[in-house]
Amino acid sequence: MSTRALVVLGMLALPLRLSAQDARTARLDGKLDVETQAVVLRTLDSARTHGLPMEPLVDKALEGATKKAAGPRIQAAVSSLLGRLEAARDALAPNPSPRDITAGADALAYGATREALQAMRAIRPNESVAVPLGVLTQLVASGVPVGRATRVVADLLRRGARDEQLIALNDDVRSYVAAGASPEVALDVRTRGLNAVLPPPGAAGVAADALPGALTSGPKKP
Amino acid sequence: MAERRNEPGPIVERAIESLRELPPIEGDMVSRIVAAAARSRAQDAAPDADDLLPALAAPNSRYALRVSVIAAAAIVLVAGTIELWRVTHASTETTRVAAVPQAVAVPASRDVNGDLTPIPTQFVFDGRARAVTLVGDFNNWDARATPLEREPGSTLWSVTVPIQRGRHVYAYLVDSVWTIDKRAPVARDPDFGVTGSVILVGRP
Repeated sequence: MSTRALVVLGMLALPLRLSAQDARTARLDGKLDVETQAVVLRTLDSARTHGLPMEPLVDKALEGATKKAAGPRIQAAVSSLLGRLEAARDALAPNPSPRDITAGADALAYGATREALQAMRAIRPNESVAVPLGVLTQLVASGVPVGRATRVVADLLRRGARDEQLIALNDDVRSYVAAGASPEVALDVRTRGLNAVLPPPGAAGVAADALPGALTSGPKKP
Repeated sequence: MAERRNEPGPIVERAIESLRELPPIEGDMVSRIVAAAARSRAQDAAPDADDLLPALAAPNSRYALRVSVIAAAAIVLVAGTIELWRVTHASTETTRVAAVPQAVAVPASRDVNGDLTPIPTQFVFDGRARAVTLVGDFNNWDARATPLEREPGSTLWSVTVPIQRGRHVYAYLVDSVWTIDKRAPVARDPDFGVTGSVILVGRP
């Protein structure tokens, strides 16, 4: 096929490409007031410029619209999320997926540290950490101190715990807490049970000295 | 939808249909055209008009001309359509990758757990209502996107939707009223002050 034909076909395809890019922002049409939409679109441009995923920002704006939040509140939420996405992306480098970055941003919102995110990435350099970060977030939400939750999840990952095992652990901890146990005790009990079926540290994952030092500097178990 | 519109199939079918509508081919028409082409190929040169003209000058030469024109048009249309499909398909891929931080982009195939593979996840609501829908960060918080269906003769409503692995926040709209899932963890909401429910999705 000649170069001219390719150029013509490329020009024909251009509108399709543009429409695909605009599909994200089109979802905001009619959902936000004019001023808020303008601010959100500027935030999306900033995300695109910095190589950050735009999807979570669109979702945050739509969440606010569905919850009938006021415009300024939506603008603030989207702007705040942009900062967390950037921090999560940097902490999860070098190869985070958009889902990982979103999970990292959620974890940061609940108090997880950048060092905690780096630790998860060090243990799972080529796999998704969306579930471990989600479990970390939920453990913290259940009342487990951030440092303790981070150490437990990192240790379980290092032992080769699978995503579904981490989710089961979180579900059990929540059940025990709902039944009256303290979050830390519930986590200790359930972690011992899971450790019994996992290989010892170092046998299935990354050596402990590969982890950032800050990971071990949290509050100690009494 | 754009990809379906650009699929080459319908054009090929139309070209074949046009060829079928032609009258039956006559006698040695094909062999004379092929022989002329073979002679020109043997001479490593473009087909000579002296070779082709006798073939086209046969009693059904208009038929040969129509075959040639339609075949050429079909080839151009099919090749062009395939090229257009490839260009637009590549555009879609580029857009998807562009959403990933460019400095740290990684193909999904490097994730051995299949990060991008959605997992069918069931949501169940128990209660009397006229309509129940699901909203969450997996369906754009769209109140019309994911209605639940009521189990006949019961108060159980359910829907199964594909969701990517990880932590997700959701809620039900029960007769348009925001309702959290009582069986799920609560997601606090410092941004908007409206709590939701949390689900952690992993591999089944």
